[in-house]
Amino acid sequence: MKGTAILEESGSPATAMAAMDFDALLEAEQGALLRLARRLVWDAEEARDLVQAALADAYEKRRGLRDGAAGAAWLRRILVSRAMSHLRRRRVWSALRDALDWGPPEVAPSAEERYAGAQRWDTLSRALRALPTQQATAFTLRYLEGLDVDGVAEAMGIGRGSVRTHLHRALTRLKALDALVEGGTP
Amino acid sequence: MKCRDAVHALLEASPPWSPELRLHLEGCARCRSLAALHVSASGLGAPALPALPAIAREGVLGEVRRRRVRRRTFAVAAASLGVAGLAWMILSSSSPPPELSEDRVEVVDTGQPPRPEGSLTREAAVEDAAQGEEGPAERDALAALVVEVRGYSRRDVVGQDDVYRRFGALASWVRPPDSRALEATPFRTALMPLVYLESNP
Repeated sequence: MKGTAILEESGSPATAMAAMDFDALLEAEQGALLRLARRLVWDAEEARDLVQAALADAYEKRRGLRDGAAGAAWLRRILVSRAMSHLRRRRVWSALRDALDWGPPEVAPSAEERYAGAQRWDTLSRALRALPTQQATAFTLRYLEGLDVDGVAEAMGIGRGSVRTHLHRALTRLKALDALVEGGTP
Repeated sequence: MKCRDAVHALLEASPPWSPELRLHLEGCARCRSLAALHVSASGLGAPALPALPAIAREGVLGEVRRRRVRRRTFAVAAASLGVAGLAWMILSSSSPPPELSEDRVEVVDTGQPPRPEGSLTREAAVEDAAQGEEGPAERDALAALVVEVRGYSRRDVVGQDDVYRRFGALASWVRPPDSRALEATPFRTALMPLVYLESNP
């Protein structure tokens, strides 16, 4: 707890407990957060940066966490919010690059794509990048992360109806992009 | 079951579908297609990826520190800008009118010894006062000029001005904007000799 103690404003027992809980939460959930971040942004370096930023967010907001049992969902929500902002910025830059005709964005496959190798993941990851941020996030959380509709709604901070709408549109769009076919991936 | 209910049901569940949903899917090609896509997507699973190195707690705390430094720097910069702007506003509003110097006076070579007539420098006014000849004339001219300018620029539209009296209470709506000509720096500079003479008779 040495590193945490440096930043503590006071040494009260409640503060120390909060710091301890945060460290335990960080250790317990970091792996899941890194996996989720990679599935959301499809890039290892960006995923690490996102998780670090989300953990820093969580550290600054840790006093707002009342129920320690809800820490995992709380961290996931912070990460998803960060990731959605990141994806939106990336889409804007991509659109700007296209509009200014700066040439195509990084066409080289990411480490994930090279590792996964399979054509289907390459196709699916590129198709997901083409989807609107909320649709891509809902699809990833529901089908790649395995959350149910309630979990997706909680992580994205939206209603169940909105989640269903995003999922429906994402499925239709992925089919149109030939990234998803009835009965299996291409 | 309607299509909307079927879509809601199949997006939230996995096969085997309920009998009601199955019955709807048999009769609706569109929902059947969506159900097939849903099953296909559900079978994707997560791609197996190599594990990333863990993020050290020090890394997170370092990010927190950097954010605090950035916030403080931004706050200090914003406060400094605000103070500088305030100081500039105060200084610019309270700065005195520029002193009239000799190099601003137009000197006309008439072939005669220079005389201060028509000159508005302080020295000329003092000389006028000492000579006691043309000083009063200039003083009267300047006083007349003040009255004339005031007449053009200052109007008591409601109480005294005949031009606007007919409008009654509406006079304040139709009057021209007040002129600040008398407070303008050139005019105040021009009045300096008069003020000096009045204060030093």
